[in-house]
Amino acid sequence: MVRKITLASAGLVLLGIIVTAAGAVIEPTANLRDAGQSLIALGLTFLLVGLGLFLSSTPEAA
Amino acid sequence: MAEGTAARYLIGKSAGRSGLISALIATHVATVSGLWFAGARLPKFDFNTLNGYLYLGFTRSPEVTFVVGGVIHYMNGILWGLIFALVIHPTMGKWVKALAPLTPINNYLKGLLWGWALWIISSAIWMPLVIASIGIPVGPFLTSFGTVGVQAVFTNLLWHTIYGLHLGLFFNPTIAGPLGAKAMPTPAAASATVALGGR
Repeated sequence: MVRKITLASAGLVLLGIIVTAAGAVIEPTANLRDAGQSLIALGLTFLLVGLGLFLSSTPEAA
Repeated sequence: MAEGTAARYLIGKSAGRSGLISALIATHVATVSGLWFAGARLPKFDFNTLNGYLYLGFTRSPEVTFVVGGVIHYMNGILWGLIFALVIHPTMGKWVKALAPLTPINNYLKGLLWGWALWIISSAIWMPLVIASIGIPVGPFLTSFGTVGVQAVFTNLLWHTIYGLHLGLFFNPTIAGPLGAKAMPTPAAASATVALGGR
């Protein structure tokens, strides 16, 4: 169970990094600014949810 | 929680105190993060000033608007956190059986779900009905905010995720054991007791 949660949190963090990076790449383009900022916000949300899941699962692994 | 068992909290010794402190931490971290959003190329989320505009209008200085709005905003954040700790958190366990056990992961998921529920309330009701009424244009479900476009709704999601995440991580009741019985020591505490020569 702990291994599954660790994998899920790693997957969420990885997804968050990819989505945030994609947003940061397209954000400077004038007509893609809204989409880029939306992707940055969504990516950071995935990243934080994954990090929080990892932190909340750690005490149970002890 | 099963009858006859006591809960152990990460902060404080009661649900009220733990919820109050957790809500203050969650509100402060989310509020400060919102002010820093511009550094991540996102629209700045200044809920303090927004609340100030709501209650004082556009008549006062930016500093007064920020401080007065900040007090109201922090009160809102703490009260929503207390509602979560005392009402929503126990109720979620009754609605969804998988969330009933008091584990850190369940507590975290409950906090996140509450943060996202507040995101929906904020984007669907508070912003379009209340903020739009003071003259700041807001689209349906926060699909625009002043000069900012659809990214406003996703940035609001990030803000409320930060709030729910901290609420779920800090308001963390777990089962301590039967009432009247000595709480089981954690592995770290047991190791420390042995290392100090205790029994």
